[in-house]
Amino acid sequence: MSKNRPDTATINAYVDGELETAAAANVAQAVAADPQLAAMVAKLHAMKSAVGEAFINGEVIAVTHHKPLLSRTSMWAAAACLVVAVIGSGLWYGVTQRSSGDVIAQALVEHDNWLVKPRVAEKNIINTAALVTPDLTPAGLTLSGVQKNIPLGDNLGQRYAYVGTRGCKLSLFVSEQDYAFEGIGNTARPDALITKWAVANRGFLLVARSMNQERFAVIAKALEAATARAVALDEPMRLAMIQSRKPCGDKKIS
Amino acid sequence: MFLGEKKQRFEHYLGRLHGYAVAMSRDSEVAADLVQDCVVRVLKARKIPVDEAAYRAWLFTIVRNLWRDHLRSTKRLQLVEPLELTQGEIPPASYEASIVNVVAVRQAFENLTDEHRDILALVDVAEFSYEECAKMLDIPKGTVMSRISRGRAALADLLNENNVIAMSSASKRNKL
Repeated sequence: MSKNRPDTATINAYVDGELETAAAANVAQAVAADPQLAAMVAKLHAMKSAVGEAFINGEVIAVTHHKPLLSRTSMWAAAACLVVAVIGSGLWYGVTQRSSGDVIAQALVEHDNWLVKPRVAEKNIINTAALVTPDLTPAGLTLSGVQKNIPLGDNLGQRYAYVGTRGCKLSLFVSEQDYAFEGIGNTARPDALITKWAVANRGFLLVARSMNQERFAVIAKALEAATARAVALDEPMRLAMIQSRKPCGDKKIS
Repeated sequence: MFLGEKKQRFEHYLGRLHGYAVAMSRDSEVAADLVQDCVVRVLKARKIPVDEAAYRAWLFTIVRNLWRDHLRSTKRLQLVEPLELTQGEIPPASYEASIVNVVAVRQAFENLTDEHRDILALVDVAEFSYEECAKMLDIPKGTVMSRISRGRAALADLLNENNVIAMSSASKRNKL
């Protein structure tokens, strides 16, 4: 160990950005000269960000006694049907009708605005206390917020924005009208992953770009089950989500 | 301040408050209750800090106090820190031996002492500065520094105990 090596508390303060300029420069110099110290600093940085990621927005919960987002009724039948639809067929729903095309186009515009100009789009995204939202932490995605009053066809809906650590972004659109996404058919889309379902008078539309299809399918299955049941994910589902993790590709749309 | 304004201001911190409550309590149901109780206190409060930094510290202090009350009521308050490590005692190698991922960290974090969880939740989850932590905990800034250091060393130890495989070793194995 070098004689001039900073003590552990100082290294931690350096990682936390708590040192004055001169002290930080001294640590930086020591780090540059000592690969072991550099590895330690890198690991502390990683631990710090992992602790933050592990607990922020992983589970958004209701803090008021408003009605939950999802009804507990009609859960298993709907979940089972949707699971079969998504996993069994492996189909991604595209546009078959003009009206549904408008809805999809609007949803994609909202999603793409978020991809291209995240700062601008996220200004309108707020955390909400009145809703129960599914936890996708096992899938490596955390809820960054909820955007209200999104135009979806003739109606307004909400968008739940999920983000991952490796460039993944996922939008879950929710409409208070279960028929909102009815016209969406089974045509495959090469440029987006889209699936829809309806539970208890609400319509749901899940949108992602450049995400691994298998991962999207697992997430869709989990979300459908979670929205249908309004309960936490069970262990097999959580494991499937963890195992399906894959980085997302280029965010640009072909 | 009107009720709607109070709610809107509070909502800005909801995700981080809940994350902090989960980190402290290790129980999402208890965390939800803590945040819920915090909402009640905020809505009932006659005087609310105007300054945003003070408001933020006020909110997290409420949640922290609620958590401590909960611990007292369930007699789980851990007043003695069992793990005492001196500065520099942890060799750098111990930090290198694990993949740091969210799942492993969350598991390890749950096994930290209350004091270590407390300080790391404030700094890494709630993102308070050392100065703010010192004020909230009513301890000197130097104590905050050493607690963070010991907390992270303990976390690194727990990650190693969990037999998390080194990234470099795993990569080599995959190439074979």
